[in-house]
Amino acid sequence: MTGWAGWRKTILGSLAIVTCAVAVGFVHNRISPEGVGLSQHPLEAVSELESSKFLNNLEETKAKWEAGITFIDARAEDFYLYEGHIPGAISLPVMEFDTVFPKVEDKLPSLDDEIVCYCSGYGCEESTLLASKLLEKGYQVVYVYTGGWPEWTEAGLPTEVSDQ
Amino acid sequence: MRKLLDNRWSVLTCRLVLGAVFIYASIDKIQHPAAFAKQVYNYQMLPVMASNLFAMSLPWMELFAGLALIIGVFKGESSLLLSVLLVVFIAALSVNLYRGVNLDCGCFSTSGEGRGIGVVTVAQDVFLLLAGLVVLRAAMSERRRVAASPLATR
Repeated sequence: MTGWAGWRKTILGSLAIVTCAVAVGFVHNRISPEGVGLSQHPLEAVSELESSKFLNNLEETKAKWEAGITFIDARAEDFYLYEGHIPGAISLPVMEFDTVFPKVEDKLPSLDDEIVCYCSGYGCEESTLLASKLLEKGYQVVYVYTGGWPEWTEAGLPTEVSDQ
Repeated sequence: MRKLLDNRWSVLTCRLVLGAVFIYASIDKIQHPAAFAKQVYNYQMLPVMASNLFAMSLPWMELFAGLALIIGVFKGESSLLLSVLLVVFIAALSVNLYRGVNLDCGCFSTSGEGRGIGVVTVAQDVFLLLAGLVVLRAAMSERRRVAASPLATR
């Protein structure tokens, strides 16, 4: 067996391991109670929130913003102030929820109005944590915008930098 | 150096360490697919679907290749696969260190209480990659020796 034939066999063998792993992983994930749907946002899979409460779509989120629904920025206040935020969004850093919530409570809509939480996108957890806390406070229709700040800014949508 | 690389004890050590590390790394991820999927997604390298598919398969690749290395079968195939994975890990870690993204490494634990990423995580992967290459080199030369021996059928 020449050098190349040896390598070829090794590479094909590695690909065979990969194929087995993909197959077993796929099946195992389907039967595991902690599995994730193939196209499901991973945050949805690990959160206790209902999946209908995740806004995975920029257009839908934008429509809610245009309709004047309250947006809440769950990131630390520095990001809100200096990096910017979605115009009109209220800053409620989830890490300081207990101290900040009483201060912003009057700015929030009534308990049965819709609220959209966001954070720094991708797998950031602040928005889902905030949504859970708001649900505990009695707000009934709380959404999580999964794309968050990076998706919003990359799409060239309006932003605002200001003191609250 | 060459002598050290060819020494069967150093090759054996590399093989067993690499195998054990990857088996250990796979267990928690296999138990918590969704939590691991979130960690992979946090690396911001792949879109949702590709990221989920990678997250479901990766721990099994680690387990199969790790087991093979411990048992001593498919040594070339397994060390090649793990070396490629380590190159991917090093690239993903480096990109996120460069971007300044603060994330959970997801190396050994999905609990979210694991380590962040840093130069140490990259160094650990580089070290494992070197071990992988030592095993791969030895497995390939063993394969050549077997092929060249008069008893080989082809």
